[in-house]
Amino acid sequence: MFLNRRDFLKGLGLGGLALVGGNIVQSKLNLTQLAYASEDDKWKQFKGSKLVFMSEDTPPTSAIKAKIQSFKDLTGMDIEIIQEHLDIVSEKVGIDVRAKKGAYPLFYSQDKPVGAPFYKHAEDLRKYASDPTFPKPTDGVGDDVWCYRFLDVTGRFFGDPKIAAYPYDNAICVMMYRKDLFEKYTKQFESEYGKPLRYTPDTTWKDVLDICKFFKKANFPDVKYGLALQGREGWGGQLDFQRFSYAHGQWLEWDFDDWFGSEKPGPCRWGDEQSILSLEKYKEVMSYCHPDTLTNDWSGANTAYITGLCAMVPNYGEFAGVVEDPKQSVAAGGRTAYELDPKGEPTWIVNGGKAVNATNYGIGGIAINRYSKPELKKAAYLFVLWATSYETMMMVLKDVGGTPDRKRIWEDPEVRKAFVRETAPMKDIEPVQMDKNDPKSIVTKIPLMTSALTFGPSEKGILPPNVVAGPKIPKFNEYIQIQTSEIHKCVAGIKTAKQACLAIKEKTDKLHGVK
Amino acid sequence: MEKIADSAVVGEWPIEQKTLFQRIQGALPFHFWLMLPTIIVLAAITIYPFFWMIWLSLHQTAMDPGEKDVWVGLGNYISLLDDESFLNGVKLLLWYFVICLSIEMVLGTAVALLINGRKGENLFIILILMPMMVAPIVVGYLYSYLYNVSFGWYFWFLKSVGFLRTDTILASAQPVLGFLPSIAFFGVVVADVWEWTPLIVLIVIAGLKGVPQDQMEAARVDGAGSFRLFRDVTLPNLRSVLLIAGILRFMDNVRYIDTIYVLTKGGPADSTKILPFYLYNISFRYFEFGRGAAVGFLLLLFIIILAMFFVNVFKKKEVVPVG
Repeated sequence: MFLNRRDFLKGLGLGGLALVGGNIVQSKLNLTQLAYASEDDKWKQFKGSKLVFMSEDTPPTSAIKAKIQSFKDLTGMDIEIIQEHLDIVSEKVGIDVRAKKGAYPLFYSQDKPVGAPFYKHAEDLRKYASDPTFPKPTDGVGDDVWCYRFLDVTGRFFGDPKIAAYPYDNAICVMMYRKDLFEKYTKQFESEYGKPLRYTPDTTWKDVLDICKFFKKANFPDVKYGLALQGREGWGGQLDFQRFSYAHGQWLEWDFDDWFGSEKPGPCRWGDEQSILSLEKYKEVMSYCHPDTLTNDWSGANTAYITGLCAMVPNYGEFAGVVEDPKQSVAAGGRTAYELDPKGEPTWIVNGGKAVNATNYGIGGIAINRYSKPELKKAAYLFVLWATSYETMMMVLKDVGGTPDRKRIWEDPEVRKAFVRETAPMKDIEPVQMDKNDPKSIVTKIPLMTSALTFGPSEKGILPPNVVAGPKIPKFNEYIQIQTSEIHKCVAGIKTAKQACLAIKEKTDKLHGVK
Repeated sequence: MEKIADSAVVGEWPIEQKTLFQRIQGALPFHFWLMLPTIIVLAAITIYPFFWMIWLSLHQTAMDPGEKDVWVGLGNYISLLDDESFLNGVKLLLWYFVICLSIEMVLGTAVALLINGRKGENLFIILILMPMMVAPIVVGYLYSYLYNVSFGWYFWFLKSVGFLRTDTILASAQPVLGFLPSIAFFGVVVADVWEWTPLIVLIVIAGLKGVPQDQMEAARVDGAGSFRLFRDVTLPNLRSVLLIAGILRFMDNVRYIDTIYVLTKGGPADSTKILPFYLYNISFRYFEFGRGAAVGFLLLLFIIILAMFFVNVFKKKEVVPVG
């Protein structure tokens, strides 16, 4: 068979490529770092790797999963993103690190429930940050690029200088309330309570109690209860009570640095006068709240609010997306306003502390599993950089109303316009008539960055004296069960506040080996 | 004649010396050898984990890198004696299986009797079996919606007819009548009964097909009414079937946490935190594997003892002929 020069050269070239390519392509567990010449090449140095990211089922992760092709195009890597309930993430990560398998090279490290127990099983990200073979993200990854102390909260534990995770998302609690209902019923409220029905940063928990009493007694056709709380056993319940207890005298369970936590927390403060009084008052507020409060977590409380059963709900910024969706929520269409969580009532403070607008949160981080193969860990760091980058966080904010952790995004002029409904960029939606009896109640637009509506109060809430970040302790998951279980018994009338607080103290101190 | 073997008698054929393997082979029946591969696999997946669980229960397990598990002997077991959550879990577990099993056995048997031999029996069976096909976690979500104060049908119905005096089902922690479990607990029970009564129906219907018709006819001829027929003919013939149904359901019932996980997470006020759920918390939320293994071992003992009790209760008393 005649082989012409062109065919011969083509064959030679293909053969040469096969030879070179065969040397370059290694097994996925033993990749060779390719020589790089530019930032683009640094992103592609682990081309062909396959990563697995075990994440909580959060809006940012959903948005990233939807746009993951851009990461794949940038790096040439593949990634499987598994989304689970936070408890399941904790369970699977815990089993994996105990077995030292490294099945999840990347895992979602929520500061207290996952980070505190497992941070020792995460890589120290500082070694990758100082490695010149990795690309440098826009703004970098230093403390000053993240929101106030977010890196401390999610990345640093118990005085260890190691950085176990970078901030990936956040859930900051603000008060969401129906300003339309407040305007509608203010006269009636004023006639009974001598003050207008308003919610401001100076609104105290006693004011909230009055509002709850008012709505429950009135039993209006368009709203039954003043407030939905989140008392469900577990982290939801712990955060819920913390917003109340910290507001009154900045009461904390332990006497250690709340930003970094403690491995040996020592005796707790439960059972002191302030804790007992706070629990008594919390029980009183709960008695006027939505009746499913002891079983509501953030989703349950949100459901109570968006179905119009409650006039107010303290909830996390990411829920603004659902609240503002007129197809799902009767509170959409401009009916909801967002403000700081309630302030402590000064007459309910006996420990000499301040009354503050206690704001708590969960800062989700993204960590690298130390038991994964070395090359895979390095590849994972590229995903960490991409997922926590300015560009990705901005994309998530605009796509699904995410919760960015970089200061620059919060300071962005376009984002700051979105803090306020009147100036927020809007997007068109299919018209929805909010009130079937009112033809003018048609909603055709919603804010583009819905969660940004909560950023105004959030940026005040995450600063001292309002913010409460802890308690970061290794046995956090068991502690919150003890706490919420006893609080439930008090709220249900099975124990008095004093009995419940003393029981928490006894069990918690025993848990930490305090005699 | 030459002496061939010590045991050989002069003038007789010699006895062959068998190898150890040949002796074992001859001692064990042939079907044992056929089952051996399966036995080995089952042993690997049950016996090994069983002893591993016991080993774990005697240690305080470590989670941090570089730390080792510490031998504590019976320390994990002893600590359970004054563990309020453990004791509460045991109490609730007893309530849970007694109430669930009682309702499911009675209701399941009644439904089976109702549809057995009737026109459309097969269609009824298909419809009745449908809840059993739903994954328990989905049942949990279904009932969380049905009980929801905002829009749940069950909540609305029970409130409307005045059956429910509280404003909530799943957040109701007070004991009913002062000593029974809470309304939230009964909410979980209803979900369990809805899902698993069909299993009892299925087993009992199969058992009813085996009731000798000649005994039924003879009893009818003797003038026995429906109740006498059931008590004196059907029920005695169903004993072994009911035993199987009861044991199967009991063994599942004391392990399930799926519905509780979704509905209440063990709350409110620990009123639905049955022992298996507490076991799950200790092992997979607190990662105290030693304590969890101790609870697991005790739960296993509990199941074995109760299963033996069931067998004894249902065992037929054999009549020994006189003379």
